[in-house]
Amino acid sequence: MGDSNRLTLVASDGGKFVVDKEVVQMSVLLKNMIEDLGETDESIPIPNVTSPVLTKVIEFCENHRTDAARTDGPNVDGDDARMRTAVVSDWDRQFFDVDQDLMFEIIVAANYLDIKSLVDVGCKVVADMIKGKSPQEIRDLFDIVNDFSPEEEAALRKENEWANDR
Amino acid sequence: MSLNTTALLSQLSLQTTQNYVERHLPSLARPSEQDASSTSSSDVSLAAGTDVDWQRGTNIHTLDEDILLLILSLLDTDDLVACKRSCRLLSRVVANDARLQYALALSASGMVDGPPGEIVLGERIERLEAHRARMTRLVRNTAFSCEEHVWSRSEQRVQVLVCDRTVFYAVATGAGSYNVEIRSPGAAPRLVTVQLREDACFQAADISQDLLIVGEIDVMSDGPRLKMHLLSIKTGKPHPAAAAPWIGVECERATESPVHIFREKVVWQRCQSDPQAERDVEVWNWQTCELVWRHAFRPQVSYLFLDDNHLIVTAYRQEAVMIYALCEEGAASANGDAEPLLTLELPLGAFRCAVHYDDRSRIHRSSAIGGLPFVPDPALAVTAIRFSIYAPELSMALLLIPGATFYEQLRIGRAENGPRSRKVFWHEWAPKGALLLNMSSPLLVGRISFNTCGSRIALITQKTSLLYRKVSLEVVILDLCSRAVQAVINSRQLKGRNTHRTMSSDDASLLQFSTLRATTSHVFSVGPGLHCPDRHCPTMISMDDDGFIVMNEWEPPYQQRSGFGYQAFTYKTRGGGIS
Repeated sequence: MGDSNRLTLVASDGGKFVVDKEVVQMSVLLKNMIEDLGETDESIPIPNVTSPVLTKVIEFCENHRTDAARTDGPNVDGDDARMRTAVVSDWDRQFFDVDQDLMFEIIVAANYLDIKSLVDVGCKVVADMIKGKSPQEIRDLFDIVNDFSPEEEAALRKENEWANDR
Repeated sequence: MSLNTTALLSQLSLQTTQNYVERHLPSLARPSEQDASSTSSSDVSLAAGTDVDWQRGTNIHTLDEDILLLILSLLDTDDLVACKRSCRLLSRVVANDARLQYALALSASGMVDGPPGEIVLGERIERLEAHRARMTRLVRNTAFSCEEHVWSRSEQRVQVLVCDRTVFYAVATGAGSYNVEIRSPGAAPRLVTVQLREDACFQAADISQDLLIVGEIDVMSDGPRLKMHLLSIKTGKPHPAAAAPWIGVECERATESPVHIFREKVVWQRCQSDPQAERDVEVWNWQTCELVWRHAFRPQVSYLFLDDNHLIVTAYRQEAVMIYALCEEGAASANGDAEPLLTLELPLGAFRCAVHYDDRSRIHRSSAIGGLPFVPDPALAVTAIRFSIYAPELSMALLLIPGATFYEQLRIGRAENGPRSRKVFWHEWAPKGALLLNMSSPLLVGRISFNTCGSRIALITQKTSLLYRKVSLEVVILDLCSRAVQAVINSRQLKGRNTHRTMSSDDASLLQFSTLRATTSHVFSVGPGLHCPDRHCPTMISMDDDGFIVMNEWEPPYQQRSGFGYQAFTYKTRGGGIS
């Protein structure tokens, strides 16, 4: 305690994490909150995020703290196109080499905490998983049940007959 | 303090619907009808903060729709369709988002979005739907209606230009002007008078931009100069969008070489009296009348725009197709890169290579669709390269290369060695990225000029009946668009039969087009038979969006032009569009 450069985050299951303020501030949500709170020794509860997820989120922020300035700016036009062609770095890919539940929870948590770079990378990773797959392969991948009736399937097939069949 | 924090947190929690995605990607935010559902799902996640086990069953279905949209917006359209067909939730998310719908519709109609402008998304979608309804029948239709025009005038030299559905006959009046008769099927002919000397050369036309380019040699005090007049087709007067009435080119004689227009750019070469001298190929912006790019090539160079920023070049003794990047940094860099960005080699022994163009009369395609906020996908557009070769049963070949092949090789080049020049051998790029037709086959009428229209090309074949020694002509249409191929394959699966045939890589023998193992799948359809009027013979076939036009001439050889006519074939509209 007393170190003004460090903060304690408390996950929903009570797990405590002492983190550099600079790292915490990659989350726009927490950054705004810290500014509103001013100097405080209080730990900050993160009610929506469990310890395993928060561990990963902090790991990501620690790793990306140096390029925080770059991703801090407002979203610019053409960002979508840039993201579409962007390649996920090896570190990020390994970071997301976890089971799917955790992967989606990290994305949800990043979205909640408003960490743009983590949301972007997470979505990119999921998009890359989908790429080149057939509808059935996508269902298998995400454990989705095919809830279309045969008629609906046929209609969808006809509607999209111009697309490469998979 | 603790109370304070909790209060603040709960206040923040209430705002969770306005999370990262919504704050930063307003364009992704969906219409209000969606807000209700996303709010409720966020309420659930809020509640999760206190009692609900947050770990339980987090999967793609529990993601906020905003995140799903972000993921989906990163996908190509083929992947988007796969997602749409996987389950109801994803199908609904795709269907409810206008941007994704627009992306799908663009892809389905072979278009790419134009520059962002005043036209809002809703209007873009509406216009695209209208355009798509018109285009869809092209993929399906083999029925044509024919309109014929026979016309003759023999005393004067007649120059013929074809652009889309429009035929231009330019006849010198002998009094310092030209009468240009403009004919398009189903419309009354128009006559425009252009004040030019008799030796003027009608170079190019672009209907969608109302642009007609005519070259005229002007003898100035410091020598001859070629004036490239930039005229409005409607008025015959200087084009209102051009900064000057003409572009002056230092040149010894009127260029007989082709001039191509691509939106605001135009390319030509400066002709020299010395046939061995190098030729400058120049790209100009016809609106600002500024030089964009210039490069010297060996004689008998030919060229065509791949897109706004790339020029396809091949030369007579250069057994390769080259892509040059045009830079627009002004005159200082107008000499461009000496090195081509990409060199695709042709098969060993190829010679007399040329980007196919018509060197007798000129066929053009409008380079833009007037006023529409989207443009044809350059990746689908096919470029035709013809060359001669010493090979068994093959002396003249026509290579059809989809734009996607160029872009793929450019992409690989960028990834591998950055902006440096890259050379690819024939066997590395051609087998899956081009279609090689044997034009020396007696079945193909090789002398007839043609053009490509997007992914399609129309050619004329002949059948000889031994019994009567009578030759009949037939049109065949090839479509290299993978979308068209897929549509035919899928509709065959759905309906069991249709009128088109597709050729896979192994099935090369229809029409005995020898393929040298360079082939890409395509749709092949036999069009109508041609019934030329007596003593006429076809000289050009010009494909356009609505069908094609076959130009006829009387009593060849064409040098002694004595009469002209055309037959315009239009796709017959069937009732009802395809969704």
